[in-house]
Amino acid sequence: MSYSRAANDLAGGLRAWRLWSRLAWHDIRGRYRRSVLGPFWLTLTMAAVAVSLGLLYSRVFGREIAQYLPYICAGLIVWDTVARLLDEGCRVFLGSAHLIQSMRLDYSVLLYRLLLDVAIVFLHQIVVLVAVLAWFGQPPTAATLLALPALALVLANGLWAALLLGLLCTRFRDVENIVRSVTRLAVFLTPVFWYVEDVGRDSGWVAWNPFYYLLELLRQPLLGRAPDPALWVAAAGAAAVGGGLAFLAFAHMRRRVVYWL
Amino acid sequence: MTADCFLELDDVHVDLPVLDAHQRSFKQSLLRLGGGRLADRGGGMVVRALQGVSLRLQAGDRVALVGFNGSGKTTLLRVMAGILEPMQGRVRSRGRVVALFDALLGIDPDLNAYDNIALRGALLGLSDAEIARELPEIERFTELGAYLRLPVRTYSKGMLMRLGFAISTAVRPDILLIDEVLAAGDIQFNRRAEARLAETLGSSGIAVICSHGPNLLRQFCTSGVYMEEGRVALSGALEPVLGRYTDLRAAGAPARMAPPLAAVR
Repeated sequence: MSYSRAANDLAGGLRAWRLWSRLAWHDIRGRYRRSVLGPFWLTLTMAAVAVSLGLLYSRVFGREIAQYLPYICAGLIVWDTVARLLDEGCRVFLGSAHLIQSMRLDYSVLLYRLLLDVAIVFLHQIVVLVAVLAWFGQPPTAATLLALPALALVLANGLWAALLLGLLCTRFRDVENIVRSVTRLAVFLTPVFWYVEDVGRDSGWVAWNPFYYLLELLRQPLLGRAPDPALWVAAAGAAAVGGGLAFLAFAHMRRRVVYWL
Repeated sequence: MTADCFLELDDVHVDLPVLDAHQRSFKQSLLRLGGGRLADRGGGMVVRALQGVSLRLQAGDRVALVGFNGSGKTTLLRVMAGILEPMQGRVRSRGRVVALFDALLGIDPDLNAYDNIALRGALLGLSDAEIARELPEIERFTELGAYLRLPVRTYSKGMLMRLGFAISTAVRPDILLIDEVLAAGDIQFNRRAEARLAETLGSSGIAVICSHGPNLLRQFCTSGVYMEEGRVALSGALEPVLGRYTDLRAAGAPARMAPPLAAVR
């Protein structure tokens, strides 16, 4: 009973694509409005961060700028996507409390809205990487196309994580702070700024870091290289297991959400 | 419109949990789990908002929902709207349900009226074509003219009400649920709102209107439900129900609410 209702919610939400795409665009326009530079703001912020950090840390780590700047730029963009999915996933129900309390709504609409919002922000930021790669004369390769399925896998993992965190954060209000602390720390523990070779692929810092697999899966094709097959397996496996877990939680907690708000 | 729309509630119970700061904390809950049975569980409270409500509404029913504050009217409307799934009992319905609880739902103050109409229309499940079709009628009803192109944060409260109300009633619902929407408007607005409601409802469909104003209810409703302590205390023909409510109100009877209970876990 509760399983079929949860499945209906997820499917019904998907059918309401008009609604969540409009809501996601509304979110994006809200971002535009809050800044003088409008649509360019998201792009320019990423450009400033990537270029300044790239210039500085290429010297700290003694790396060739032509190699390091694209690396850190791609890393930062992917990391921002992952962190956004987690941080905003926490508020996916809380942030729309008024909506949930005032109308009958498939909750998954809010999840799809979040994914589309994150994907659109990603597209704004990817412009920076394209410019950086062009500057250093590194044209896209056939492997660049793999970025699309890789992005889809990152979003699929974001979907279950946001669902699970959204439910938890609605019930337990301190989880959001815990998640924020984790994502803030994880950016340094994950090879965004540094290279895996420097600590070794078998190092626990890399092997046991779930973020590493997602980051590397999407960063490699963005830089024109095909990701290691093991990365696809890991990301798809995580999506399957996490998806199953989140679905169970959703089936059991879905109707409680409105009571917890 | 579905001619054979219906709405049935069968022995519906709703307990609203009142969670305190400790129960809201993940860390505290983990500690309690680890602390074993001897640890103080600090059982929270629940409010018994609905206790065994059964109702059967069919096409053409116009129901006035009355009762004192805290008698469960809003909870009942939320159950009817499918917002709250009851913990016990069943709700079945056929037809498009539209809840008109907050005329300003989903209104973004920074957008102009047209963008808000599109946004709110999408929330109500209207397609772009349907919104375009209803637009002239919405424009006419709001009487906002050139203001329609300004951000709605420049509107007065009354203007906002007109806009929100016009969009909400643009959907053609089979089952319309209304909670005190007309409370904030002026008299002239109320008259026009009532006319629009009558038009929206047409002859078929189900309407449940919750209001403290007997005049509005008399104009629209044919039957009534009087709520007390989360139960249906009286239902049936409109006048006896309204009479019971207004008599009690006139007598200054204290509001009878179900007392909150300690949670049984």
